[in-house]
Amino acid sequence: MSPERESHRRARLLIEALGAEQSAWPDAERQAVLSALAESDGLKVLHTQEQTLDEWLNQSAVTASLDAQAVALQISQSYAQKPALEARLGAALERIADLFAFGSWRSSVAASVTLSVGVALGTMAYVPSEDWSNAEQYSFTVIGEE
Amino acid sequence: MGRDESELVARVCQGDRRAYADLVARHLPAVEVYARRILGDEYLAQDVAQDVMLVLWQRSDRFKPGKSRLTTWLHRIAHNRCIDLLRKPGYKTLEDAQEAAAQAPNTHEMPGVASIDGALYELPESQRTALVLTYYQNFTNREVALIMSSSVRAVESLLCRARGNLKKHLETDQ
Repeated sequence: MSPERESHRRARLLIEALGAEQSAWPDAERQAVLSALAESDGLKVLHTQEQTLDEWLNQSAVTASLDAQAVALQISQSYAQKPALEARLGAALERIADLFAFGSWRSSVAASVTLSVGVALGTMAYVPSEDWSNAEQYSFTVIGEE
Repeated sequence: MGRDESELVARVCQGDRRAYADLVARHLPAVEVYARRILGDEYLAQDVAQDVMLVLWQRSDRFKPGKSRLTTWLHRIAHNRCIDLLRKPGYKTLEDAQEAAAQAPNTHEMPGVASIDGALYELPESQRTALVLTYYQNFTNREVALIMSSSVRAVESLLCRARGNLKKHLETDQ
């Protein structure tokens, strides 16, 4: 396809997609569309049709009815903010750091609590790997009784 | 997005109610009008708009200023809410449009206000969304593609088909 035909094809696509109003066309392509429009009678006919459609579209007059100030007040007073997980985790770590920041006794308490929790968890989670329930079946030989 | 607006978002993240009210005043009307054009229902549109503003209050830390404008982010949320509603079984967009068209007076020589809104509702959801975002909400094709999770080429194609269908509607009305 020649560059001229390509520029006309692109101009047609943009007018069909975005309408007749120049301000709706991409800044970078506006001049090329205008040039193509000046050269092509077919594009001029299309442009006129799109102008009619734009005028029709402009008759739609949907308006907003909500009171922005009331909505903002109602939401900000009724709902708590929900920070992202990272932010919540960061805040929790900061609180823990603050808790142990002062007082030498606190580090000892923290260490003992950690150790206690570790032992408790270990006890609960321990599963014997050998079965000793049938231990009486084993025979033991006392040295010297043979 | 201007520096002013990204500062306001940062303040909202820290719970600043005045900054939040400022952002709601800037963006609520556009989001409500968008939802109303897509859903064809005033009260559902109000629900969607308030829902979007709730997200702005609770989750503004998810907005990435370098990635898009705030209005694009808010319209993307509104778009997803509208799609959820439109795809619910039994949603009667066309009937609502016909009712609106029957109720509104036609005072123009050209096909009237009710007729254009009715014709918009009759468009397939994706065509209507692309047209409303581009024509009425003044987003660029790139931004529309971001909002609709689509490509610029696909948006251009949707716009051509939407306007083509409306032209046919206009011709049959005249």
